Amino acid sequence: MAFLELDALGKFYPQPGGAPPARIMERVSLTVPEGEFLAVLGPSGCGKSTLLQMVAGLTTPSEGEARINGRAVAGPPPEAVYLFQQYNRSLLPWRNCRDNVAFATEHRLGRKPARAAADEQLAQVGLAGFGDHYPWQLSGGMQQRVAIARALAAEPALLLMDEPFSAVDALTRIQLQSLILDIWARRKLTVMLVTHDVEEAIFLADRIAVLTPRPSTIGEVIEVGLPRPRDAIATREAPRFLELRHHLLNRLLARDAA
Amino acid sequence: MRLRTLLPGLFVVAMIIAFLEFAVDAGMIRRALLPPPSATAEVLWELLSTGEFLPPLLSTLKLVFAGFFLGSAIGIGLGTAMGVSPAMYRLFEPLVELIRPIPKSALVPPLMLFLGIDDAMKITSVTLVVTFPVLLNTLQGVRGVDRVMLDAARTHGWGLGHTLWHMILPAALPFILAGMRVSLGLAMVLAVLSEMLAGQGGLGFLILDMQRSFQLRQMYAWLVILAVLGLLLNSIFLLAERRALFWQRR
Amino acid sequence: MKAGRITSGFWLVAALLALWELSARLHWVDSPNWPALSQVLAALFHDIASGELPPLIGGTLWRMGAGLAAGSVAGVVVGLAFCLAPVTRMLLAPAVELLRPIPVPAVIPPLVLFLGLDDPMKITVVALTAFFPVLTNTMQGVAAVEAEAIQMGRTFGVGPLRRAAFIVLPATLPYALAGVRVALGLSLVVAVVAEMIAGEAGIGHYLVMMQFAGRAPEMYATIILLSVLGYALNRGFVAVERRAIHWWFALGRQADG
Repeated sequence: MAFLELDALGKFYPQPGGAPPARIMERVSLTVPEGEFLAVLGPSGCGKSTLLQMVAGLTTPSEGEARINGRAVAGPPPEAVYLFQQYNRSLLPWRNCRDNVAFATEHRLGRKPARAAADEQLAQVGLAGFGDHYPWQLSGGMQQRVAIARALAAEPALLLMDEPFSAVDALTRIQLQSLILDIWARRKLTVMLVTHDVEEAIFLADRIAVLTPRPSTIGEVIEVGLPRPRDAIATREAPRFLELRHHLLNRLLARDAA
Repeated sequence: MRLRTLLPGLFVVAMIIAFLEFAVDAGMIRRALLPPPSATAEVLWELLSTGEFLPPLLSTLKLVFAGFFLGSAIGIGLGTAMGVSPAMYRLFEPLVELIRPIPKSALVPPLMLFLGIDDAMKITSVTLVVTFPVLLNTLQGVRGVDRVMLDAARTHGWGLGHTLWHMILPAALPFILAGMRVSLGLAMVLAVLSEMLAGQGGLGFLILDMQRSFQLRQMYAWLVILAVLGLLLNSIFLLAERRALFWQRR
Repeated sequence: MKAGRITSGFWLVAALLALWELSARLHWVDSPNWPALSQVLAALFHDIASGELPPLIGGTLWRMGAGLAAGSVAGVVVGLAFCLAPVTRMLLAPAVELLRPIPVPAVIPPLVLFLGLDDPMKITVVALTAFFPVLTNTMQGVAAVEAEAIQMGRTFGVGPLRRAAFIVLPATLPYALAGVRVALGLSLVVAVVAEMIAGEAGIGHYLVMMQFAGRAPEMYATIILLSVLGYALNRGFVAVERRAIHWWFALGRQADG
């Protein structure tokens, strides 16, 4: 059975004065098997984040439903964790890194065990010894690592990522991408990543779903087919990588121009 | 549309007044403390319809306006000078810091010794309390003007006066107006207080005087008039501020 | 800025104080209402050392503190309620907004009728004064809580009460404290004003008595004392604030305009 199913999801907002509702998204259907790394690729403003928020139970779909393990999503599902683009807004500046990570679990485990586990998670993202630092004392890339550690602390089966690396510099982005792949492989997570970065989608994902402009729906789904484990440099030079990059950029830019 | 969102709250206010009327009537609140709102309303109507309310109101308004404009002028003038000129800043900063923490309401008694109990004393005390928030906000606004903007003015060859009028003051305006909004409230406080301490007339004097002579309906009626005056002045200022800062809305 | 350098401003202050001293000593201003600075300072030390002023200060500070605490707590609670349960705001905001523009001294006469001339009346007046700035700032603070932070709480399955306590409240705290800082300054002033208008207690009453008695040095001494008190209270509060919300200052943010 499919782990995650999107069944004809749609979102529209009512307009004042009896105008027809603004359709953001319609008929988005996808099936994601357990353990897959799925990227959803689309131009800015196509409602990618809205789609992810509907899966995360943070926004209610106007039509259709998302199902995890066959259960319809209504409110944040326990299997899923959402990783925000703006780490500086989702991290709590009054808590140090350890307590930020512990926030994910302390309401279930209690404070002490949550803190002990937090140090473990910080070590896994390469931040051993940074527990007493405050987020604002760290670089952007390190802050996003804290956010990743916090997400992992909740031991999710499904990780939802909303352009998680778009706010860090290019080199840091490549390092974080490798980190995420590493964690995904080790923990056998299912990942749904939303991005507008073509190379990021190809480098990370098993499959790429391309969204059309508004009202957006899925234009095509592409099997990436690049071997794993992937390498930060070599994979980006593989003929298949370049072929996909050409195809996807062509598609996105052409649609943008139209 | 805005009225509709206000309606439930205004209904609650009406219910509170109705309840007070009932409570006084039923003897739950002593008439010696609170006359029934309807009796206060009667007195209020009499004051309004005979025009009797006007002289005390104007008397208080005069203090507020005179002090507010004088204090704002001093505050904006000195604040701008200190913001633009480092020499002026060095000269006046310690003095401002020294006078700032003095509670201006405590200055009313000595001012009475020097200036008597007339308008001069009251306007001076209102002016004093108005000056400092305006001055400090003006200073903050003027000093906060973007360096890039000032450099742009210099490359265009603008003189100091032109730069002041067309760049520095407009950029500082949100701060200046915020300071003036605070000061307007304080001006009302000082006007009422100095009327109470150096009673001759005005709304503050009447409210205290009516209480001391146990004319409670009159006291509450004057209090309502003062409250409405405060509400009006505040609303007018907010409207003016919003118009002046139309460019600020994102 | 606060370096130990002696600037022109220091000389201006020194010159003005010297002018004050000399104008009284040399009878340039010949008035019983114009004592020399040294006489004022002597009166200040005398009234403190003789034990006359300390209990008055204590009484005023107690009324101020009690009123400030009550008003601040009410401001935070009502502010949170208005933002987190919009129904309360719809029903009660107009009543609150009708009370706000009344100049504080004007509510003292009616309050005297209900609460008398002593502490309950004065504490209530101070509380009423402190309430509004704290309310306004708290509401600004709640509005400024990052949507991502709240959604973050939801995705980890943190319930609404816990979110309010561990996300909304800490994020609002800097704003609420800035409101309390404003309220602190107003509270001392209003406590003194209430003492000036009604009752026979505290520094405010002493100030008016000294004016009536024509004891100018004591009167000015009282004003200096009040200024120092206000300054020290503000400084003390800022120090506490910097420790309590060090992260806020580390982020270089500002809550009040």
